[in-house]
Amino acid sequence: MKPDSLLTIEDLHIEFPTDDGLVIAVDGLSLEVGRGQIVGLVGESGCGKTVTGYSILGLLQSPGRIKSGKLIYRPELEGKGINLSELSPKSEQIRRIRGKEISMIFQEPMSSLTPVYTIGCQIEEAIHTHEKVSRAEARKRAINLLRRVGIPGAESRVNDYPHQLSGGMRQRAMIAMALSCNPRLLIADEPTTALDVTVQAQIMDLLREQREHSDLSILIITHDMGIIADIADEVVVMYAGVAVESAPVETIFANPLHPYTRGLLASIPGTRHKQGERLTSIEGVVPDWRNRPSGCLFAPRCPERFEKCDERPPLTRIATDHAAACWKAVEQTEVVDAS
Amino acid sequence: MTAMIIRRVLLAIPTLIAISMISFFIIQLAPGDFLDQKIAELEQRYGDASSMARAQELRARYGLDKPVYVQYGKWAWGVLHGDFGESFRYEREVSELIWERLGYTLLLSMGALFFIYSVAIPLGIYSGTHNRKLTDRGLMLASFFGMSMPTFLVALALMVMVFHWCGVPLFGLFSLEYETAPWSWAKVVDLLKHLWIPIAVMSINGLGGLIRIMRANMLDVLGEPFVRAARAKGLKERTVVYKHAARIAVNPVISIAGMSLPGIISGETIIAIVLGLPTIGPLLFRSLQDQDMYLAGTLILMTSTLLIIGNLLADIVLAWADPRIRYD
Amino acid sequence: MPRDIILKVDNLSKEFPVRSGLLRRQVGTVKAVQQVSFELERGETLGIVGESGCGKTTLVRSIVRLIEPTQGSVKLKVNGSEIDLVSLSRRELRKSRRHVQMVFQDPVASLNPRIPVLEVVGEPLIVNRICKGEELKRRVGELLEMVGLRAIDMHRYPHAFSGGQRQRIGIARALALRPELVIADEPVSALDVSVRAQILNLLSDLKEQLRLSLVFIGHDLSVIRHICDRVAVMYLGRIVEIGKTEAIFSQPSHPYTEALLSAVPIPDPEQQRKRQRIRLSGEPPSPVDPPPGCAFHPRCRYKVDSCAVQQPELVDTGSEVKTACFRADEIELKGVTE
Repeated sequence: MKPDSLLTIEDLHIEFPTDDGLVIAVDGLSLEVGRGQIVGLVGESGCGKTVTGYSILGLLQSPGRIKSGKLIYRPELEGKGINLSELSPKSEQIRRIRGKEISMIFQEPMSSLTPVYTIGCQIEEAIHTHEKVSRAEARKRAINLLRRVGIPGAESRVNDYPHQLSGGMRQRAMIAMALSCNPRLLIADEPTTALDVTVQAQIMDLLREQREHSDLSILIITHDMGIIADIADEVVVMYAGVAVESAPVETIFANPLHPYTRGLLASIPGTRHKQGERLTSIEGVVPDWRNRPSGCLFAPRCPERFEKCDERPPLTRIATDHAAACWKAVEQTEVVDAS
Repeated sequence: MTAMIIRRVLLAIPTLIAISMISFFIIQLAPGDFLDQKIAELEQRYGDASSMARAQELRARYGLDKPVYVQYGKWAWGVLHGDFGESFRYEREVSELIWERLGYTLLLSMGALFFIYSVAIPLGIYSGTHNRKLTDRGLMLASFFGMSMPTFLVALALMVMVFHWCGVPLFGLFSLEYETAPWSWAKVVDLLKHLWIPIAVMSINGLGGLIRIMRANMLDVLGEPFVRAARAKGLKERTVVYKHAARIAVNPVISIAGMSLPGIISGETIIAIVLGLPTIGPLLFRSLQDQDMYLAGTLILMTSTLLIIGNLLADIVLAWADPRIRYD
Repeated sequence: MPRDIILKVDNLSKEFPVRSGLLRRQVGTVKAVQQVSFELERGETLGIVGESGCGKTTLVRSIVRLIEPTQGSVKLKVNGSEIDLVSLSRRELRKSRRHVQMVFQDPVASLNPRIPVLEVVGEPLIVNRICKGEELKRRVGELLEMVGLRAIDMHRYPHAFSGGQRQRIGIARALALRPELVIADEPVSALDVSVRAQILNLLSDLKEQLRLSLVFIGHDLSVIRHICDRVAVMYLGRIVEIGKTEAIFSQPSHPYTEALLSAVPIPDPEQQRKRQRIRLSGEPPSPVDPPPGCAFHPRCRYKVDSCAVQQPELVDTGSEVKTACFRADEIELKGVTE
């Protein structure tokens, strides 16, 4: 059964008008994050996954802008929810949502904390922004948060400057800050890419615990299929600004329908290959923004393309909880259905 | 931190010794000495050789008949005891000549520095947060003019304009009636009335440059992940800009303060000559022309000391402003 | 048949002084690499894994003397004679460098963007006065085609290439002097998954074709497992386990290796969610002040009293694996199964 929706993205388009022309970063993306769910948004660099994360909180760097589409947060509110894409990035409404309703952690824990303030000071700042509490109360909460994210000696660490912490500890501090006002949704943008594997495993455990602890929903943005397998409930695979496949995590790995998803899984060394065997790789490169194919964006690299791929395939529901944007996949299911 | 200060002070000592030595010997490199000029002057006036005897007497008195390292040794020994020697031209103790002028120099350069920073930082922040807007482009054009304008020209133009419109001759730091008057409240007010012109002129180059630097820093910092993270917390845009971005963007500008002092002090010379200011610039210029060694040596030593102190202060302020910097 | 050893690293150490205080007196040393020894057979690929700060990069840089090692020897056997890289003079070193070349994470990013590929790839040939002019163009063209680019690409500039293509350029440059040993420092870490596979395939092909020996540094264990015949696991400047890749992955004999393997998620949700997780607490200690005895003991689940006192030596466990753990024989550790 599908849990209640917390955030629904519908046909999102994001573009960056530059001096050299219009760069299309996201070209019609739809996805849904349910309450208490962990949704993985996976894709390679430049596929638009990070930009999507920024757009939810109105954090797109100029000149980026949402061209069209809806970002419906909490659809139950007044029967229609809040459409985040309609709020100006400088508006008071979006400011009240940032950090309070929806928080974000970033790829670079090294540089995501302001270097001249202690971590305690930065966590307290987040609390004071959204709640009227005394300074002593805020400090107490900051220490509790640091304890909750597993920072040893929280009472003294609260007075440390970011550079005095290791990368893993900084990411924990970032998570503490993001959780300080008990948000409903956490957007985690490549939260462990800059960290070592053993630290990554600790951070993943921590995120899982937070979900158990407070019914937190997480949108995790990553390029790593291993992380997806480890933590996500639902997966959306992005390629060149569009969602090419979405399904529950087991389905994606067991029965990938889109040739890109299949290629991505096949190019991971390990499980599917003998040692020393040639890896399957996806030939070619991601389309250049200057000449995006008008048809299926993956067609130029696709081993299974046929005439119909000159037309852009929409993300089509193929099973109840499995959708793919591929003509071949659609055709094959129809055949199955007919038989 | 304390170790850093002590180390820097200790390092300053050999630096100062080296500077004073080098400047002393460079002054000596020119052929002849102060007395040769003096003799030529006397001969012209009296036309006989009696001046030679007087010259020899003076030469012995000032120790100019001894080799240069002995002269330096004598002078340096004196400096350590607070005796800076005697000026040949003015025939007065160097210390009598310089203190007041040093004071005015300090007042003017500190005034200029303060003015530059208090104007450039807000304008740089404004420009950085209004990137490519019309106001930003206007400011950049203005600062470009400021940077490239020759200061003496600005000084002359200002003098002409003020005289033309207000009928007040702008020369020196005081009006005529206060020039020699003892210090009083009225004299201070008069000083302040005159002070703004040289300060404005001295600031104009540095101001243009610093606005551009501050703007560039601001643009860099605004693209940093921590600024995005601060926005993601829900902070007000003003808090993000001032508390998180500007606070970091200003750090490199602090270390520039130490470095920009020499420029301000040496740039002051030409302005002081044009505007007739009683600062050390013109005095140093004159003493170098005259080979007035003890005076020139003392002035160079004093300015170097000021610069070293200025740099040290800038570094201390920087360490205080940025916890990442720890000198040890 | 006797083993044909191309590289023999013996007891190599590198220490960096730590200075502090008023007189900048040396108050300690960072023991970045400590008594590392290993051998590399001709045609073999050795992987070096470990987390940031474990000294893997310092180790390989000391081997080629981009950093001067503090002690130890690095014997390179080429054309039947043996040279100790550590004891060579600067001039001799330059001559023997051509036998050993390095590939970096993004070799092109650190180069002048105004230099065309011809010069990037041809530079080693020019500097060593091997060829110039038309001959140079011919050689560079061959090299580019060997790494899967077109000869005509030599007239383009590095920034015009994608990440994967840049790494191809970096590999072509490293191969220009026909080295026998290539040291690759995280060569695919900056690349996307699909491109990474292309580069790994290229490396395997070239190894075969040119009979290269390869030292491959990486932090991605799945990549290491795929490409390496043997693997060395480093922790705090020391090798804690070294041996046949499959043996170590399927059944590690050092507790740190076990934890490292457990931390890497398997890209298969069913397996990943079923497996037992072994988590290390905390983070590696500082190499300035490493714990006494076995450096891993404060985080080890299997430690006994003697671990805190004595430094375990690398010893043979049978099954072609050496490990530095007192309890290697008694404890049963979990690896990753296929």
